[in-house]
Amino acid sequence: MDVQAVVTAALFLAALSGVLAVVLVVAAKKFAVVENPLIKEVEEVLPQYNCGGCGFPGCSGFARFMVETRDPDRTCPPGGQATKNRIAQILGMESKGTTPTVAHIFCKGTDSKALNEGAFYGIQDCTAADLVTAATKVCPYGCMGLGSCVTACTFDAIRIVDGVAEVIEEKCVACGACVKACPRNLIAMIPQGARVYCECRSKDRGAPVKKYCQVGCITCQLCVKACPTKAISLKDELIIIDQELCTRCGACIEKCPQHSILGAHFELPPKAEAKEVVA
Amino acid sequence: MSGAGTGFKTGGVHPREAKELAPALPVIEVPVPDKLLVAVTQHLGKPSKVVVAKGQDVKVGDLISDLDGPISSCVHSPVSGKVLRIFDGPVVGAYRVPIVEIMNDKNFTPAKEFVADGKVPFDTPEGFVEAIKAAGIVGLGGAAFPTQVKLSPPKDAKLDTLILNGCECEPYLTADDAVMQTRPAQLIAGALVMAAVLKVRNVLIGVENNKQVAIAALNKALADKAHLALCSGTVPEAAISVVPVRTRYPQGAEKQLIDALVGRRVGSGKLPLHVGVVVQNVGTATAVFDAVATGKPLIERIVTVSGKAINNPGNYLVRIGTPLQALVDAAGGVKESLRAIVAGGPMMGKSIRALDAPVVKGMSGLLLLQEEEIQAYEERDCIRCGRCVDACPVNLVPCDIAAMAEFKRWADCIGVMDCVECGCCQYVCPAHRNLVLYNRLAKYYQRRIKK
Amino acid sequence: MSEKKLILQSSPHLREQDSVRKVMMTVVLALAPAMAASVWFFGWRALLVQVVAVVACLAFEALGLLLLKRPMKEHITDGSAVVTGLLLAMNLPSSIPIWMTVVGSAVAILVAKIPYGGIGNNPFNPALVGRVFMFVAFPTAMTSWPKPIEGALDLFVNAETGATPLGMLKYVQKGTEGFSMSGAMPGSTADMLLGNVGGCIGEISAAALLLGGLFMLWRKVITWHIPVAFIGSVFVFSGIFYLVDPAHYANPLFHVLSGGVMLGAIFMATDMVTSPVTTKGMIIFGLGCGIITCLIRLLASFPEGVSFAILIMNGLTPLIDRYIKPAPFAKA
Repeated sequence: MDVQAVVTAALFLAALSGVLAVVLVVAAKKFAVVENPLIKEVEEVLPQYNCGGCGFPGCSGFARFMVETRDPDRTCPPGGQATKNRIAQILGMESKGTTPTVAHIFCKGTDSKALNEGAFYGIQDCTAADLVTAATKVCPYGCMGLGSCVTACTFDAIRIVDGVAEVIEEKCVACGACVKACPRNLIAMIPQGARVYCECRSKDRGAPVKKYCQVGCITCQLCVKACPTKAISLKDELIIIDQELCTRCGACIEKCPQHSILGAHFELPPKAEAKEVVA
Repeated sequence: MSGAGTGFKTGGVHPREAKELAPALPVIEVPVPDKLLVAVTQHLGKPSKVVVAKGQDVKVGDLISDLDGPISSCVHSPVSGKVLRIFDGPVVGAYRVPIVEIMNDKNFTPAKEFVADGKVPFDTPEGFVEAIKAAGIVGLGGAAFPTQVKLSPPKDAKLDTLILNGCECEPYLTADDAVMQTRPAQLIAGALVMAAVLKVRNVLIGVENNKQVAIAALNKALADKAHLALCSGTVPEAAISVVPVRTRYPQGAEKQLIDALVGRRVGSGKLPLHVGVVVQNVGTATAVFDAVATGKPLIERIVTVSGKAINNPGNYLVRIGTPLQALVDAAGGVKESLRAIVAGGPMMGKSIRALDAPVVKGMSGLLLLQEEEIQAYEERDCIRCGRCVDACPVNLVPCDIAAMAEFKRWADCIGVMDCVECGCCQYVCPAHRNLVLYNRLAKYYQRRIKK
Repeated sequence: MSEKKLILQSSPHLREQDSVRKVMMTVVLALAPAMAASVWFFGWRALLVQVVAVVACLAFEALGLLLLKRPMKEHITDGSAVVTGLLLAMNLPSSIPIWMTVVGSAVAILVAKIPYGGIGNNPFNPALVGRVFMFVAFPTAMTSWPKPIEGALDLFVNAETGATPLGMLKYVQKGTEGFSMSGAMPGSTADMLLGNVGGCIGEISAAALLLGGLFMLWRKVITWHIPVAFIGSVFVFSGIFYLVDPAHYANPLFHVLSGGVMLGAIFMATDMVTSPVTTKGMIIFGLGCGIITCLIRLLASFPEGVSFAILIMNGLTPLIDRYIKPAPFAKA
């Protein structure tokens, strides 16, 4: 073994690394981008999902926006109140309250409850099926169950159960991707916790609805009349329940002949019949 | 310039023609049912506004809904009777549109007497466009574009040729064939009306060479000057010729027909008027004649009911608003072997689930298909064979567009806005990829991004 | 018995009665004359190699489909693994040990096809990748070719080996002592057409390959662009060298009929997955294959260049597809 060759090679490599190291240090210092250190600080307290739920490109985009504008109304939905407080602390601003929300799919017309006809061959995407009006679900407003929302959700928080999409609330971070993905606008962000909603967005009335879905809203408006606090109204052919006015008495749930109105996350008052409370 | 070898130059396919199932003649009149569902939107452009109310009595030809804006059309009552209700119901291609349900009193009292042996009054050509607009004429080839808009090009348009589209390149369909065989003189007279409005002197009637009887009928009418007998006043000069073209799909597509007949190519995003041409369907020309000469609005049309799953395939003269179920019943009913229902032709038509929608102005065919006539496949990975590239008549690369669309890279779907959705690419694809649907999705998202 | 449901789909509702399986089976049929010629000249061993390659490719494809979690039944029956196996075998000498064939099949499927996502997604021709791997890993076995014996049906393998014309030609080109052009040439052009020359299983009989090619052209499984561009450019390029120095460079007809040009141009370069989709692109692809083949044969140290040429052009196919698009329907 030629020791001298080894030593020469080693010294040469050492010298080369030394020169390159100096070059790198100089370059790092000379071409360094000066950035507000707060941006990095804010970014670090964000959940790092890069989901775009805030409306900005990635968590760094949101951090930059917050540092630049200090907008008190903006939230990172997956981060919730805790993150908002921490950002407020870092930026020295007041932390406004924020309602934690979760996605909700307004259709319970499962394969066992709603009519399906034919077989759809094509791209298994809800927008695609709607473009050529070829979905098998007879109700033209209901969930087709082809899973565009499932594909859009990067948190595995939606699944198709019995032909209809369903949100797994524990996993939902409220990024809003599913809302954009549904071509029939069946998904909306709702406040977490106790709620009562009419779960049907069909704009048809009466007998035709009953023909294509056992739990479709027939717009009989018995719920509107039954509500003691006038929380329920008919707007644009849909039954809307104001969650602030609703006292969770359960009267509408009981009165609805189609069982379209469902409540969740609360106990019905004892005198009400044990109707399904979907947890 | 003519000759059976004339045809569009790139792409295209030749599916089996299946025209023998429903021969052009005879045209059978469908008994008008008791209730008609007149859709308020039967055209491209802004939907028309309903001008009748529930309980109102109407007569044949009465206005049911009026134009709304410059690119719109109107709809007339096909029967006399009473308006039962106005509701939102399904039509082919849309889940819910306003529909006026009219009860037929079987008297067929006309609102205004149509002039039975009326002639085209060439002494008052300024009234033509108004008459066409008032009659609710739209493109009967399927697109249903309001005809009065097509006949009112911008002032700076330099037009020299009117092309009548008698190709009917879709398999199974023979409705246009029937029109050309039964009313060639009216067709040509209607063409003269349009030529006068557009101030063009050259009229070419393109007909695929598988319709020799129709070509002969048109040539005979020309030779006998039968069309002139239907005109009064000074008929402006126009050179009219019937040009047989090669039978190949999609010969009847606007851009392809223009390429074949006058050798001009309509560019991306452009219209035929940019190359000096206006194209109209032969059925539209005949309806134009009816409107201008007799005052008859568009209230009926010939629909080809075909396929192996219908008992009596053929051409049927049916009133607009007839429920499809009534049309199917008039054609003998469906067989047990029914596997698909397609409204339109098999290459571009829409598959429908039920027969509760009504006949609309643009419906040229209703196909009741059996297992072996329609195949449904699961798509597989693209094998990059390039057959779609060869087949595309507008020189796109469908496999690449679909590849980008599959991964939602809508902006990378280059050229998709030029796609005419003819279906040639998907027809030839051995991997059965949903090429047309990917294109449709890409177009939808590209439009959304533009907004 | 299930009641058939009404079909709902986007237009078009008609299809050409074709499928991936039909395309693959047409290719297999087209290879039948070449298979027959191989058995005629090399005996049953040639058939054994082909069978082993096909079975091995199918087995590895099944494994690959399991790994990719693809539906097994639909993909294993599409015939693509059969074609890969046959084409790989066509590129091997009939004396190749069986275990080497299996290794080659494994590489072809499990390295060149499955990791990219299976059929349609591989950038390189799997059979050629397998062949080149074997060439590098088993150089001796891959370069000893049994001499052909007409009607050798009952012979298992001819123990007598000999150099192929291309092999000898390399020495002629280099000007090595003891090798002359006339010595390197085979008995007659007829020999090369029919297959009475040394070489790999599938490449010896130009006539059989041509027959298969015409069959595929008729069934519209391939188009003329790649084979004509490939063979044409080989002819022209080698022709130029021949005109300049006929003592060292063989005539262009020899180059076209020898080695893997016919097999490569008709069956390997035309593999749809790894070649461009536009006709303009296909011509460029074919020209590239031909020119690189000649560069290797005439100027480099390998006697044969077809496999490398095709693989290099496979690598350039995405680039060709990116920039070569069909002319727009109308000028802007």
